[in-house]
Amino acid sequence: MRDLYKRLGISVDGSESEIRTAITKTPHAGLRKDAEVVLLDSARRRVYDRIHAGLSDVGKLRARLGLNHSENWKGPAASDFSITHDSPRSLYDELIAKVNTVSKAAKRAKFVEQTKSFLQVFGVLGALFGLFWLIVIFGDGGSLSNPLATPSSSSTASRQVRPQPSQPRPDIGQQTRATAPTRPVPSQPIFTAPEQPLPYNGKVIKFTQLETIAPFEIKSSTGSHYLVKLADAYSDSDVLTVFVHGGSTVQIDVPLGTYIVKYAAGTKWYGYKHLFGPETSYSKADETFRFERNGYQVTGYTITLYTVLHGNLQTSTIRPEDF
Amino acid sequence: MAVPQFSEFELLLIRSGNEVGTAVLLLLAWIAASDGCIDEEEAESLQSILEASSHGHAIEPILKISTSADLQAIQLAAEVVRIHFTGEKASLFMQMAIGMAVADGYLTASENYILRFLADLVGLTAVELNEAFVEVTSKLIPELADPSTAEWWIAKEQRRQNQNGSHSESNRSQASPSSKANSERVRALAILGLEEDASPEEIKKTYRRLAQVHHPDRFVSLGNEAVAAASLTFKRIKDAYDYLNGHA
Repeated sequence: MRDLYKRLGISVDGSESEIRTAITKTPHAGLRKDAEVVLLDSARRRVYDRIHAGLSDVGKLRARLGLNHSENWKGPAASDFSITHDSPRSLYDELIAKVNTVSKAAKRAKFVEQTKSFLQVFGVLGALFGLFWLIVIFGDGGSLSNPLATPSSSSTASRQVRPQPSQPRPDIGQQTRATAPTRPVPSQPIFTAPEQPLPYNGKVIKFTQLETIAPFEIKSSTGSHYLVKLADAYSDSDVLTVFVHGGSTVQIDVPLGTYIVKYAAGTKWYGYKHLFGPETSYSKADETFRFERNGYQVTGYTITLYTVLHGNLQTSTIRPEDF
Repeated sequence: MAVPQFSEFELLLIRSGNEVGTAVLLLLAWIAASDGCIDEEEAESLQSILEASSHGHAIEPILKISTSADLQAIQLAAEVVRIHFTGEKASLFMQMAIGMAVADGYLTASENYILRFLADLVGLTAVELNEAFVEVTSKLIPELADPSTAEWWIAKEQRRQNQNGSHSESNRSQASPSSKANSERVRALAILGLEEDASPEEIKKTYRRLAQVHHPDRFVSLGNEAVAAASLTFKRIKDAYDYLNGHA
């Protein structure tokens, strides 16, 4: 079927007089006759318009589905109703992408809700517990000989100010095992590196090329800032670090994999080499985190960096060199 | 993060738990709506197809989407069908769609264009489309009608005049039962794809063949909706045959 409107150069909703004018103007005798018979009779035009609309839809669908040059699309209909300026695009792919976005968001929301409810119920107890824990740590003088043996029941106490007493030099990373067995003597460490402005909240440094697709959310309490690090659970090589300001929530995407989560906490920032200086506290989550893909679902996690009594994440303090 | 917006049909598709069934249903409704509206009989057919399927939504949204010519929804349904119906399933799907399109005994111009579109969608060649059409109707797929020509309208109106002529005759004879029976007979024969002068042997042979083609068991691999659609076609054919047998 030909598109009479297109061939006459008028719009589909053109008035009768417009059609008449166009008909007298057209040089094609055949078109003139057909247009007179079909379009100047209102009953016929109604039927023609309906088929015309259906055919226009078919033309649009063909363009979007890449079916403009197919076997069953030939003749005058194909030449008059094909759309060439509309490029194919898959609405199905777009739908799957939208579903992925939403399920990711839903997962995050669920974890947020769960951590919130923990907080609401155990917030007060948690604060007391944190205080108790501080006393324990100060009491034994920050036993470096066996730091992994002091698991905190959940997360860091954010106000923790753990001295690094035996540390003779400012470079934390160079503190060796050799110093560990010596009984630490509390003394003011010599630390001369200048304080630096905090990295922006959520700053990620990646040590891998892997595509980051799994959601990871970190919430922190006010008081300290955190540098959270993901390391590969098998090779212990660093995957990425993310800087989290105190009292904020950061959402990032991480590559799929199984990771150890470590974090350094403190109040003053001395740059990525010295982190939070001698007052940095180092911890690690006792469990590994698996970010995996299942169909087009991706597992994500939310961790909350403040004390949640009976929280489901046990952490331990670690030595700076293990960070 | 920006929350993506879902269209009505996208939500149906996501929640149905059976995206192929929902997509097939929408495409069938689209065929039914191609003559401008979905009549009561068509709505009933779709309803019974829906009841056979396992998804938990009502027919109304599907009818609404198909009559509002929501191209995005139809495109999405077409993509789902293209993904799932390949190879043997592609020609089975085509046969089911043809069965729905010719349910009333003839193929409109719009239905013809849609069938050709669906054939291209699932990757059938012109020859394969014709084979499917012959399989279902024992006739070749009609040439595309051209309602943009004066000839088409003149032929059409002549046909109608002839019909009206015979109608007014029957009116004069007080709508005798015999003439009513005759038009019923023509209708029943059309459903079998036969002309008025078909012999009882022809009718029997055609019925046996069509009953095989439309046997619902053939469509199991396409899902419950297809089986239900085939059952409807099968029942229509059987009713027509029973009528012809009873009024031979």
